[in-house]
Amino acid sequence: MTDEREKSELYRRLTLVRKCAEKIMAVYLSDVMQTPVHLSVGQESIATALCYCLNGRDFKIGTHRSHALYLSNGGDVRAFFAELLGRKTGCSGGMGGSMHLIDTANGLVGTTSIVGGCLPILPGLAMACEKPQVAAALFGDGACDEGALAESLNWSALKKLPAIFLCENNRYSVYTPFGQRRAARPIELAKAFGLAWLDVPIEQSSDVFALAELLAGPIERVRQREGPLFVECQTVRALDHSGVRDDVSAGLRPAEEKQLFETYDPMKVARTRMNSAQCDQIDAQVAQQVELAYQQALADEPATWEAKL
Amino acid sequence: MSNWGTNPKLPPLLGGGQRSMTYSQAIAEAMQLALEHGPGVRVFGEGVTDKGGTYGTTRGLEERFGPRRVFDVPVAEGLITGLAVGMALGGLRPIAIHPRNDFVLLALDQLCNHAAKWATMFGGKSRCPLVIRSVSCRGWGSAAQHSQALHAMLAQFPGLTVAVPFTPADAKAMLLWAALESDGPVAIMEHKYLWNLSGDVPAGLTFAPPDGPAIVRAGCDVTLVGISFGAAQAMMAAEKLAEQSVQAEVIDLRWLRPLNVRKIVESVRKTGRLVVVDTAHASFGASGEVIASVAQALRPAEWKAAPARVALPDEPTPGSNEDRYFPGADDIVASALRVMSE
Ligand SMILES: Cc1ncc(C[n+]2csc(CCOP(=O)(O)OP(=O)(O)O)c2C)c(N)n1
Ligand SMILES: [Mg+2]
Repeated sequence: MTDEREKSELYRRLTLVRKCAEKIMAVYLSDVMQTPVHLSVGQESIATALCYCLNGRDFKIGTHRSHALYLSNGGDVRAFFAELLGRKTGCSGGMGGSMHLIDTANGLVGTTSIVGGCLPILPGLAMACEKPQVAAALFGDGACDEGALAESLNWSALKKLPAIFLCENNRYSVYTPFGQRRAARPIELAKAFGLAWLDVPIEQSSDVFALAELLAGPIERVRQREGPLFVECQTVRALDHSGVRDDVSAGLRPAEEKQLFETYDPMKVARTRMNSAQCDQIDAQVAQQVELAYQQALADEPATWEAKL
Repeated sequence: MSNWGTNPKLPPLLGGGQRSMTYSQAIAEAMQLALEHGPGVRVFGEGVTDKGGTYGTTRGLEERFGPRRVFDVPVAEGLITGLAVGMALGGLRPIAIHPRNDFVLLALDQLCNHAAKWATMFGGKSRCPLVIRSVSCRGWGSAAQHSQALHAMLAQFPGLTVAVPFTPADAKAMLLWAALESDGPVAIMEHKYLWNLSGDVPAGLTFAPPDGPAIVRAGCDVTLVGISFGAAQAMMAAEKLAEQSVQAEVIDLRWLRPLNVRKIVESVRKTGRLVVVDTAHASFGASGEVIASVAQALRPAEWKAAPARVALPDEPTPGSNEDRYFPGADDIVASALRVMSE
């Protein structure tokens, strides 16, 4: 990717996701946010590149780990923090928490914390699409352990649906590694059902510019109704499955995971592709935006629950 | 008398009326009207486009409305229900059909974790209007996995509306309400034993929103509440009770969720006696819920006898000896007479 305007926009979105995560990390242990957070640190480039290739009319659905999806898709930052803080102004009215983010104005129909739950919903969304609209789901490798993947791939391929399956393969379901759960990689199922596919190694998936470029063509073909697409991106989770701590230091995952993050941190990778003065400027702007949004959300009225019956 | 095969001929319980048709014809008419009047309506399920057409209720719809709106699907109940959720979130009005109640068990995640929760989980910023039609069957040795009536299980979930239509008019109007007007997910539990029941069905678009039970036969001695086919059995029992000078008031429950027992409470206040007839197991079922809800609304002195229920034994359905397993009108009569004699 060479266009400077596009690059700085991608960098800005990537930075927004990271800065929001850092804000959460800074306050979370005070219990001000009473909701189980699943941060995308280390994986941000994937949602960011995907959303960059989609528009606000396209449907998106996500999982428990969807902060990056919501934010890089253009979700309101104050409504994001307000949701995590249980405020009325939250994107889900304070009734969903961290795992249930929604932004229908920008095509995000919701996120579900039932692992694999988004998979059969995706072809349904795709069947509701009007050309050139498409539908995309962002999910983990654990979701692919569910039988729902096979059912959903089969139907999407049979009906040539405008569906994009994007698997963020961080090789872990909580602390259970890939090798203890799977005989084959998720992409093998997609190949078996005849979907178009993209197998993206971590070198490319951690590079938001490279990934956006890589996704653009295949997504355009989905738009043109050539059939569904399956993308498997190798990636690494920097932090604990849930919460803000470091599970590697706690001995829950091996030290190589940490090294992998050091090498393929999407923020670091992006900075090597950009002019550092420009990066600093964007960093400062976004940090200010995030802090303001957080403070506004904090001052917002708490959500209240009333029995209706 | 209780084992009628899979498609019994019922006595004319509901009288003739202007526009008499069977329960299954009423459903078929609703399906057609829903597709005609709801451009977003989609109809799908295992076998909906085959010759049988979901026991005759979807026959001809694919030819008339095209394969984009009416289509067959793989044997994948989770997918089928997930499709419905996705379509609903995408702005369509899906009607997914499970030809047997039992298969809904494979669809529970999408139905109960997703459809039922969506509106609440997102603070009312999203709606998930969809219809799940499922048919409960029994008879002809269908045995343990093809004879269940699972309405009470679904009624456990706030966020789902659960309909148990008894009359052909309701079978049509509840389906049309669910397909065109409801703003959330609706499970309609149809009973195969009602398929040939005739009744008056008003023409055109008719809508039945969840507004509580209906009194289908007036009486003053004992209140019989019927759930789905249980209402038909209660009507038959009431006929027999009348021969013994017991006037039973028969109430068709119509909706399990939201449960509205006001009319039942009024009736029991008058009769002092209650027997609930269900097509499912007694334990943890709808019959117990109805009795508990009525009990909470009455003073002990208003009861002339302890309430009773007629429901399935607490064992899976046997593949033979069905007439010993499924209660019939005679069991209801016996139960009512016991309550009368207290
Ligand atoms: C159906 C279901 N089973 C189990 C869980 C518990 N659980 C929550 S997240 C998770 C890991 C999922 O792994 P993956 O899909 O790879 O996503 P990641 O957390 O790695 O992003 C599990 C097992 C759940 N939420 N839902
Ligand atoms: Mg994972």
